Amino acid sequence: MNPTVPVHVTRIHQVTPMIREFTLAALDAPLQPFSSGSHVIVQLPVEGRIIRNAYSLLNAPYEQHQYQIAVRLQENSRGGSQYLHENIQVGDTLNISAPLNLFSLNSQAQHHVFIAGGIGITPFLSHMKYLLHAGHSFELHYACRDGISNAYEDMLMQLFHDQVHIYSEKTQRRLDIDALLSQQSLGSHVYICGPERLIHAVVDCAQMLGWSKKRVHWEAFSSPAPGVAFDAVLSKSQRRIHVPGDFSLLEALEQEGIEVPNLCRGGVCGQCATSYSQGEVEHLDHYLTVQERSAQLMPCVSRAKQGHCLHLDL
Amino acid sequence: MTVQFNPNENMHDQFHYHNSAKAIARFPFPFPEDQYMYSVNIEPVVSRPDSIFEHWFDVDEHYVTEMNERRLTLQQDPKRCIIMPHMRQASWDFLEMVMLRYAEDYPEHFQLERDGLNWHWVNQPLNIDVHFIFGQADSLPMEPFEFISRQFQGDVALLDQRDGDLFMDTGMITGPADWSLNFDAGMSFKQWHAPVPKLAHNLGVFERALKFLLNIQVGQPYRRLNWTMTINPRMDTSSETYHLWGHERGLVTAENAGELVHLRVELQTMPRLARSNALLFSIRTYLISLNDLTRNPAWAKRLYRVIRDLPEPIAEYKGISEYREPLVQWLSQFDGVDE
Amino acid sequence: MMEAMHSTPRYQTVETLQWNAPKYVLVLQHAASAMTRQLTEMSKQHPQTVQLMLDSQQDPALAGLLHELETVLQQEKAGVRTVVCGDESFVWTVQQCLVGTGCLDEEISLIADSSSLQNPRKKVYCVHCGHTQHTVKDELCSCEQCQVELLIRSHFSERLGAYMGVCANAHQPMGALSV
Repeated sequence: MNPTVPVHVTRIHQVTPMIREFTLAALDAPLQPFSSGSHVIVQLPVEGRIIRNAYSLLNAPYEQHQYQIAVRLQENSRGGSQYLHENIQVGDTLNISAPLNLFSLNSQAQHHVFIAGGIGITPFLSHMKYLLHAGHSFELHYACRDGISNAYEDMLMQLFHDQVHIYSEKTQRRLDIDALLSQQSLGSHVYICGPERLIHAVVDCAQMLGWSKKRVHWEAFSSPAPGVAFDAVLSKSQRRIHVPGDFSLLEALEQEGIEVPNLCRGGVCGQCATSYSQGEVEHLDHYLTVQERSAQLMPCVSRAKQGHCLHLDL
Repeated sequence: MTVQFNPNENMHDQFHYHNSAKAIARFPFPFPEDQYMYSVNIEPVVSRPDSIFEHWFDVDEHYVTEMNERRLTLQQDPKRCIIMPHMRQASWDFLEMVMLRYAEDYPEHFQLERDGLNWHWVNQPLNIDVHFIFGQADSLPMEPFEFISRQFQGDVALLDQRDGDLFMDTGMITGPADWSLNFDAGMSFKQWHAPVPKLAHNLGVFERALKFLLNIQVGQPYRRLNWTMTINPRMDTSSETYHLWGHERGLVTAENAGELVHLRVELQTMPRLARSNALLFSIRTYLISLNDLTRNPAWAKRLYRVIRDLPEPIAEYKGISEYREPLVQWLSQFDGVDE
Repeated sequence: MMEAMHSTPRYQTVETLQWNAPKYVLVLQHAASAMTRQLTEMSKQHPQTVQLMLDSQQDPALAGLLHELETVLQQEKAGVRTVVCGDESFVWTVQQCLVGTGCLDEEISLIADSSSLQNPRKKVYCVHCGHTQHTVKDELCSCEQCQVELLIRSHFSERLGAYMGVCANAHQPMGALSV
């Protein structure tokens, strides 16, 4: 359904023990240019299934000939990051989607404030390289753990010095979100990328301070959370499928050969919206309205509530 | 692909305009059914050889004419070209896309040579031959957006994508169907579509269209057709000049409708602009007199039924109401059977 | 005026204001209007309010007010909410200034004080010659610059702060008085 392009791995760099950076180059047709904040979906053949993980492009949009991604080895992984860390070598081929941007810079912002948690630094690397080139104002606040997730700390300090603030055990500084947001002028927009709790903390703080929601932009770094296994009945095709705990509904459908239009695979773009007629849904997306949720769900992240079987209009 | 350009056409006062047999045959007749209603009629851009859909951007026999019409309109009213400062990157994306596509699809007329950022562009029909540095605005004789739009067949809007919406922040609009770029510049998607009849809004057409457009990816553009009618082969039917051409609607009779009334079809193509993440909205306009159009009996019959049964709010919005009666009378000759 | 469409402005009312943001700036056109007095009264309950009042209806006073507003906002922090009260012409002129300083739509409340004012003005943009003028009319007005008789449409441009004025009758662009 979504065309993929083959790319080959030209370089691998172990940035920290937990973070591995891959440089990808075109195999046949030239790589599509991209805007900073874009990600690509990488297809990973793991244990007889295809896991599709999204990774931000961290290189500058002015580089036409390569894509660079950085992968954090996740502890409770379904195997995707582990596969990339252990099985992929220089010279191997990967299948990836075209770049998609759900985390772009806001054209009206006069000053961009970036808040990164751990591997969430990746989209900002691209943004900052772009902004440096364009001569626009920004600052970065990077919360990380030494030796684990503080990728690029040295490079950042060298390139951007005054604009970068690192919060880790080494720097002995803690990120004070309230203080940071309270001092922002009207020209600022804030961008967060990292764990859900970091995003929530910033979003909540901004709301308390009276900010419009449109001043705050975020991208979550998560694969669909595993859950309880459940069954789904496909009303149109008269089939019943089983969704294991470590499969998203979308993945289970794809495994059964049922194609559902999809793009972000993270519950934000709306592409995979599917109608359902029975069963209670645990809605985990960021797209549908409350009203819409009574009749539709996003199979890429949402699941049936415990003990429920979903009837899908497929 | 080599195109023969029509000489000496005039689309603004003396009206000298001719569609060749080829142009008539390839005309994008927009009605798939005998009646018309608003819908989200967006489809992927797939090439159809020997048609206006062969290339992403179609260049035809009226190319030189239309570029001249644009030049004259801009002379009269520079506000038909608006570029907001934050759209600079999108402007370069657009320039690159047009030069690459034109040079690849019409190599006899357009050539592009690139040596890193040193580009050499030749536009033979317009006698343009420039060397410039891609990304450096002062290496071109004018703003990159204006420079390339003056060579692009069709109107152009560059839409900034932000806040889950699209904003018309840059445009070259010299052949619009009764709207004004200067007025609509800066508006969001639903705002600039506000004047379209409530019918369409109530159907949720714009909600769905917007969600769709927001997800268009690099290399995978979409397109749709839009239609209206124009009296005389007039390219500039902007709101700006309405006080000059609006009265022509009163000239239509059941005798002259075939000559005066033109079907105006817009092919809208929407590709993602890669480095800026903006969306290009190009509006390629095709005009045909009803005399020419009705040489195709199937088209003639269908058009009669569509116009006859067109809901009044849509006819009003498209500016047809004033002459609908004589038009339908003239068209009725093409439908022998009542169904 | 014609039926409202999606672009037609919808204004807030004094009653719908929440007063739950940390800081407010009030920008007011008419000290004597009932709505202004109501707003001033309500704002007293909020500890952090700055008030800017237009002291005369002449143009230089407006320019002065806008300049003062810019200065105030340049020193404010994000999260400040602005409430503007006056006729449509006034609120949108102020709104343009606010957007220029970085305020977002949700951080701005526009209250159209049309019912309590004697001659509430709106701006109309003549699409034919590009001139923007003030008018108290609702349906038709004549363009000051090119004299075309304009229908005042409900299609509104926030960027221009004006309703579209388009030739009301293409058969008689200058109106019934011309032949």
